[in-house]
Amino acid sequence: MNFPQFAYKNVTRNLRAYLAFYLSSSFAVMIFFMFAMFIFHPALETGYMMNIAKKGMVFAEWIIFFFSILFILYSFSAFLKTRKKEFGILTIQGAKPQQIRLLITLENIFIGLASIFTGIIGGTILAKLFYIAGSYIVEMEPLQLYFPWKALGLTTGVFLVLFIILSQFTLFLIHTEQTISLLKGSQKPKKEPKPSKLFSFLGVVFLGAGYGMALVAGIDMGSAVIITICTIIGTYLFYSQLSVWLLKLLKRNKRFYRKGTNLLWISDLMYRARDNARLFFIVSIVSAVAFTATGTLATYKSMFSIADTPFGMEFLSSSNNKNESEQLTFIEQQLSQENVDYKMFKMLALEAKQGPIHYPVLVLSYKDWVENFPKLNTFHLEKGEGIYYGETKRGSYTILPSNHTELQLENKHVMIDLKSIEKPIFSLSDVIVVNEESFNQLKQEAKESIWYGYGFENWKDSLEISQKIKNYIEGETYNPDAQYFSKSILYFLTVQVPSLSLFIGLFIAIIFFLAAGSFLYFRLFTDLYEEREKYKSLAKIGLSEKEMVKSATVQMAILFFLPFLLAVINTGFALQVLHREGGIPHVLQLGIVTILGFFLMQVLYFIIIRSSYIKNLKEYVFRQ
Amino acid sequence: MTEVLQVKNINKIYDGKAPFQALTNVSFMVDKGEFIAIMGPSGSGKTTLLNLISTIDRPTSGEILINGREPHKLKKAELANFRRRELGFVFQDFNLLDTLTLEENMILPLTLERTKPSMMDERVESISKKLGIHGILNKRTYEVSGGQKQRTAIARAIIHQPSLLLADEPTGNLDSKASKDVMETLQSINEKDQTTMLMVTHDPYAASYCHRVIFIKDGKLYNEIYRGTNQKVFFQQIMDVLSMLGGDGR
Repeated sequence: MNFPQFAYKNVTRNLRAYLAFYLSSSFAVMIFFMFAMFIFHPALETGYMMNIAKKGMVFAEWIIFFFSILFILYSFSAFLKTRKKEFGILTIQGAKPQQIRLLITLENIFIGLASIFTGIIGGTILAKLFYIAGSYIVEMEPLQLYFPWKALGLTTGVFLVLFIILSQFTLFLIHTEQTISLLKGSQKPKKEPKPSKLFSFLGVVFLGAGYGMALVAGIDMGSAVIITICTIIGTYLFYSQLSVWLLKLLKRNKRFYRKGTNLLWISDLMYRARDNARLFFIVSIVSAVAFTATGTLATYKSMFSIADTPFGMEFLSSSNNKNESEQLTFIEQQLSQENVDYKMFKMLALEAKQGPIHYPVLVLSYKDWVENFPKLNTFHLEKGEGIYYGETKRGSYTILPSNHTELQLENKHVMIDLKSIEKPIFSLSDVIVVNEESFNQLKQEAKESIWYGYGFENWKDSLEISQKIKNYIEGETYNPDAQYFSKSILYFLTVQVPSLSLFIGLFIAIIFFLAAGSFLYFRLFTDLYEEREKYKSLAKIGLSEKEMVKSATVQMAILFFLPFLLAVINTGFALQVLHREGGIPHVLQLGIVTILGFFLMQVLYFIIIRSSYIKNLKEYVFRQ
Repeated sequence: MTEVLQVKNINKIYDGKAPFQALTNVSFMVDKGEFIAIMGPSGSGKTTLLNLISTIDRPTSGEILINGREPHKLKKAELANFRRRELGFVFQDFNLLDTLTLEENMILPLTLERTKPSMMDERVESISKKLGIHGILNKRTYEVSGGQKQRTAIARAIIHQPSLLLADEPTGNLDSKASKDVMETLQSINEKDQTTMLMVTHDPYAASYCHRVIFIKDGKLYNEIYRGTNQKVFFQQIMDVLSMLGGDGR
C-alpha cells in the first residue's frame, strides 16, 4: 500500500465521515458552475445583453466564488475537527506533519474531483430547471442548454486550485496542537463566554444607528454604506454579546431555568454562544440579502405593465417633414416583407402646448376620431369642449389639474372644457379630441401633422423590423418632425431588459437562501456526534425519549428561526429605505409576501431536517 | 419485602455472525441497605450484568426485579421515569455535562422531574455539604479535579433518593487518594441513608469497602464472599479469590 492508495482507502472506506464535506463542496461547485454557464451562455454572448449587466454578472460570479471559499473552509474545518484523533494516531506512528499534509492534499484532490464532477452534473440539471422556472417568472423565452466548455474549464480549474490550497492550511491546525490533545480529539470543554459591557454597548449603538438612519436619514451612496456597515457590525455584536446577556437573564430566573429540559437547551446555547454567534451572523446577513433582493424584485415585477395600446407602431409626421413619403414606404415595405397583416390608421392632427407644467397635446377632430375608432365611448361635443386621452406609456399616471385646459397655439390661446378623461389610446403624445367647428378654428393657427397608426397581431415578433424603422426614421438624433413609436421596442426596454437583471437577482437570492440553509445543516450534523453522546448519558439517568425530542427541537428551532427573525428585521429596514427614498410603491406589502414565502420554505426545511436529525438521535440513543 | 434487587436466572446472548453467550443462569439477591461489589476478569460479563440491571439492555431470558417491579416490561416513557426515580448512576467517566455547573449537574434529575426550585436548593445544600463540594458548586467541570467530579456525580445519583445506586468502576479514572475519598463517601452514604448500592469494579481496594463481593467468570457466578469486621482482612480475602480466578481481576 503506497501513500496515495492509503489516502484513497481513507476516503472510500470511510465515506460516511467524508460525506458532509463532499456534499457541501459539491453544492458550492454546483452554484458556481450554474452561474458560469449562465454568463458564458451563447444567447447572452451575442444577444441583447448589455455590457454593464454583463460586468455585474461577472462580479456576482466572483462574489459567489468568494462565498464558496468561506463555505468550503467552514465545512473543511468542521470536518478536520472530527478527525483530530486520527491525526494523533498517525503522529504517534511517526508520521511527519508534511506527510499528514500530503495525505490531506491527496484526499482533498479525490474529494475535490468527485465534487466537481457531481457539482457539474447537478448544476446542469438544476440550470435547466432554473432556466425554465426563471423564464416563467420573468416572462422570457427559456434559455437553451448548450455545451459549456468555458464554464467547465473555469469551474474545474478554480475549484481544484482551491482544494489544493485549502489542504495546506491543515498544517496550522496540526502544528499548533500537541499530539496528546490531538489524540484526545475535540472533547475539551470550552469556557463559558463572558460578555463585555463595552462591546454590548457598542452593539446597541451600532444597531440603533443603523436602524435609526434607515428610518430617517436621507439616502445617498455614503449613508447607504454607513447604514449597511452599522447594521452588519450591530448584528454581529448582537449575537456575540447581547445574546449572552439575554441567556444570563434567562438563567437567573430559576423557576424557568430549572424546569424540565429548559436547563439543557439554555445552558447549551450559552456554552456554544461563540460558535453560534458566527453562524447566526452569517445566516442572518445572507438571508437578509436574499429577502431584500427578492422583495425589491417582486416590487419591480409588479410595476411592469406594458402600455395597453392597439397599435404595434405609430408614426407622427409634421408638415415640415420632407421625407414623409419615403419613410411611409419604408415602413410598409418592412411590414410586408415580414408578412405582417396590418391595418393602417391615418388622421390629421394639430400640435398644441398646454403651458410649462403639462404635456404638449395633439388636437384631433371628433369626426375623424369616431370614423377611425367607432368602438370607443361616444360623446356629444359643443364648441370649446373636448375629451382628453393621456399617453399610454404613462398609463393611468396622467393627472390634469382641473376639468379645463388652455391650449397654447403659435399666437393664440384657446380654453377647452374637458368633458371626460378617457383611457389612453396614443403612445406618441397626449390627445384632445374636439368637435369639427373648434378643430377648423384651431387649424388656422396651429402647426399640422399627420398621425399614422399600424395595428397588427403578434407585435412581440416585430422587434427587429421596428429597430430598423426606428433607425431609418429617427436616425442618430431625435427629430421633432418625424416621431416613431414601436410597442415591441418599448416592451423590450421596459420588460425584457429589466427582467434579465431581475432574473439574475432572483438567482442570487435563491443561491444565498440555499447557502444559509446549508450552513445550518452543516452545523447540525457536525455536532450530531457530540449530541448523541450527551443524550445517551442523559438517557441513562432517566431522560425520556420525549424529553430528548423536545430539547433537541427547541435547540434546532432557535438555530433555524432566530437568525431568520433578525434577517426579517434587517430586511424590513432595508425595504423601508427603498420605499421612502427609491419611491418604490407597495414595497412593504410585497416585502411581507416575500418574507412569508421564505418563511414557509424555512418551515418546510426545518420539518425535513428535524425529522432526519431526530431519527438519527433516537436510533443511536434509544435503540441498540 | 427487604430485597431491593432480585436477579433470577439471567441469560444474555448477543446475536450476530458469531453468537456469544455473555451471561449464563446468573441469580442473586440484594437486600435493602446492602453495599455489593461485582468483580471478575475482563470479558467476564460484569458490565453486561450492570447494563441489564440498569435497564439499558434487556436479558435474553430470566427476570430482574427492582423493588418488586420488573422494569423490562415497562413502556419506553415509563422506563425513563422508572430510571430517574428508582435508580441512581455513577460512571467511570463521570458523564457530567460540560455545559452545566456542578450544581446544575446535580439538580438535573430534579429538573427533569419538575421539582420546585426551593426544594432543589434544600437538597443541594444538604447533599453538597455531606459530600464536601459545597464550596465549588458554581464551578464548571473543567475547573475541578477528578475526585470532585466523581463526588458531584454521586451527588447527582442520590439527589432524588433512589432505591438502588449503580456504580460502574467509580474509581477507574481516579488516583489512590481520590479513590479512597470516593469510596468513603459511598460508604458513609450507605451507612447514613441506608442506600442500597451495587458497584462493578476491578479494584480490590474499592471492593473492600463493600459488605459482600460477588465474583463472576465467563458469564457465570463463581463465588461470593462476605466482609467480617476488618477491612484489611477482607481485602486480603478478595485478593485470594482474584488470584484463583486468574489474571489480575481485570
